[in-house]
Amino acid sequence: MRPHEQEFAQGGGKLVVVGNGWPAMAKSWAQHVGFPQAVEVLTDPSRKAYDLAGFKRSRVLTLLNPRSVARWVRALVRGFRQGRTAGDAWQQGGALVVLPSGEVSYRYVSLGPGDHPGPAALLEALRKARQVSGLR
Amino acid sequence: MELGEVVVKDTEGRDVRLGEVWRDQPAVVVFVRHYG
Repeated sequence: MRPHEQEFAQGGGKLVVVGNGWPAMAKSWAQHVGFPQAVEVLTDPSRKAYDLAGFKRSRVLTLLNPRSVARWVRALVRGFRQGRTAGDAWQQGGALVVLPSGEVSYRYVSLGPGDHPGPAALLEALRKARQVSGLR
Repeated sequence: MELGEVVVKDTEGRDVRLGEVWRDQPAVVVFVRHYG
């Protein structure tokens, strides 16, 4: 997601990343990933926002989802390595596009590790959100 | 409670009301599983 930050800005949106560990974990991770300053990195230790957004928390989805295992193997083959987990290991993620009115115009609920929308899907969701809401 | 009312933290531990991040423009908010 990091290399696409400019595309989100050009698309008229702001990229925000929310995790669920403590602020020090978020800071260390953000520095490790190397997000540009324009990307806002936040953390939700209570996971209240995850719950309200409808994102799942499940050991089964984390450990026993065959698709997740396949994605994990594919990531390994491509050279990606997961670092030490910091945060809630059973919490699943997701993505939202939220308009200034507070309306959620796009929601993706992750069903396991590696299940997330790509930058192209998020940029398209942002484009549609702006179009539908009359923003230029 | 609305999503925008949730108070989260920035990387310095300061409170941030989530609704502030999309107040001025649409926001793409990616929730990660965990750090790492």
